[in-house]
Amino acid sequence: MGHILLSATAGSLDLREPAAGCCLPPRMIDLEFRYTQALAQDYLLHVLQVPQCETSPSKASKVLQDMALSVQEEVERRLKPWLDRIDVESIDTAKSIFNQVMEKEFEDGIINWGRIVTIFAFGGVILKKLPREPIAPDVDTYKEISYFVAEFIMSRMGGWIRQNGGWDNGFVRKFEPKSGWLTFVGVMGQLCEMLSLLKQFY
Amino acid sequence: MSEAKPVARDPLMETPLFEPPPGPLLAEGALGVTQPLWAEDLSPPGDTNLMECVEGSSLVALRLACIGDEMDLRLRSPRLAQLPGRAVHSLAITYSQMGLWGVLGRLTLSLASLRDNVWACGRPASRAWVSPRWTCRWLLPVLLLLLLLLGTLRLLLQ
Repeated sequence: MGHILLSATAGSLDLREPAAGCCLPPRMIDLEFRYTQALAQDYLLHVLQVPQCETSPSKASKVLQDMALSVQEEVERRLKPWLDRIDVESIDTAKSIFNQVMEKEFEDGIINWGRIVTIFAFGGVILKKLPREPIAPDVDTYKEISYFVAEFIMSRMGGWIRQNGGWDNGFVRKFEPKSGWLTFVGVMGQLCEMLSLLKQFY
Repeated sequence: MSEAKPVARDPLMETPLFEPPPGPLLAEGALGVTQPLWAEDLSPPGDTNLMECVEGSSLVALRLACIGDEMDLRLRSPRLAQLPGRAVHSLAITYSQMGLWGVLGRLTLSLASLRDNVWACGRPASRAWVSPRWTCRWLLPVLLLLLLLLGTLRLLLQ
């Protein structure tokens, strides 16, 4: 059942879960948390257009960046009046707005991958609302935001993610665009089969 | 906790989120107050700015939920890779029932439907969350497939 294989951007984390619903040891939960936080960090750096040159992002991270960025753009476009009126002056403010919106979004108990993508997207929205200059010299804003994004995800839907295949077997399989050329070759093969069948009648 | 049900609150998707609220939405620093999670916890009667802000955040939450649900549902619909099998099956049935002219008739209807869909996708705000790179990746193979189909039919008719 829900095996998950994690490979974080910074370093490589391998985590295989024997059974969904089984209690995970704290270390495993910590690894899952760190992986989710790494995904959030990759996404936020992508939003800030900071090149990620240490190691290349995982496949899940790349797919997430594509999907979440388009959601973020839509949210920013459609909710501009509201966004223009909020002041996000500190990390604490950012966290409280984030939690407030997220609690509301998930209060109906529905969880799906689409909604999980919106969590990252909203993290990106909040990040862009924060002042550009560092709040404190030793604080990396995006790291703080990635922490509370991961915190919310793991506390509210860690179990759901595990039961639905994890990031690599669940999320990526669902969202990864399949190669158009591969599909094209497959279609051609089937068409040839069809034509050879039709030939029998003519 | 469940896999997506149909889009949660469709009627509310039409909520006019884009109209600016009547007054200033947020007093300076209002949300920076300690742990301001819920309106009922914090706002004294008459604190309309905070109330409006909480209301605004509910609308944002609702919009995010709708976008997420819509994305999830669309990605669950059959993908292009699954279509050839279905198409061949459907074609075989049509051919056995109505012959070649039946197949041509179906093709005409499909092309008309495709044209309608292309028109619908061209309208703004319908599928803004789909990455443009993704769309482009599909476009060329689909066009080539269409051309090949037309060529094949032409050959068959000769």
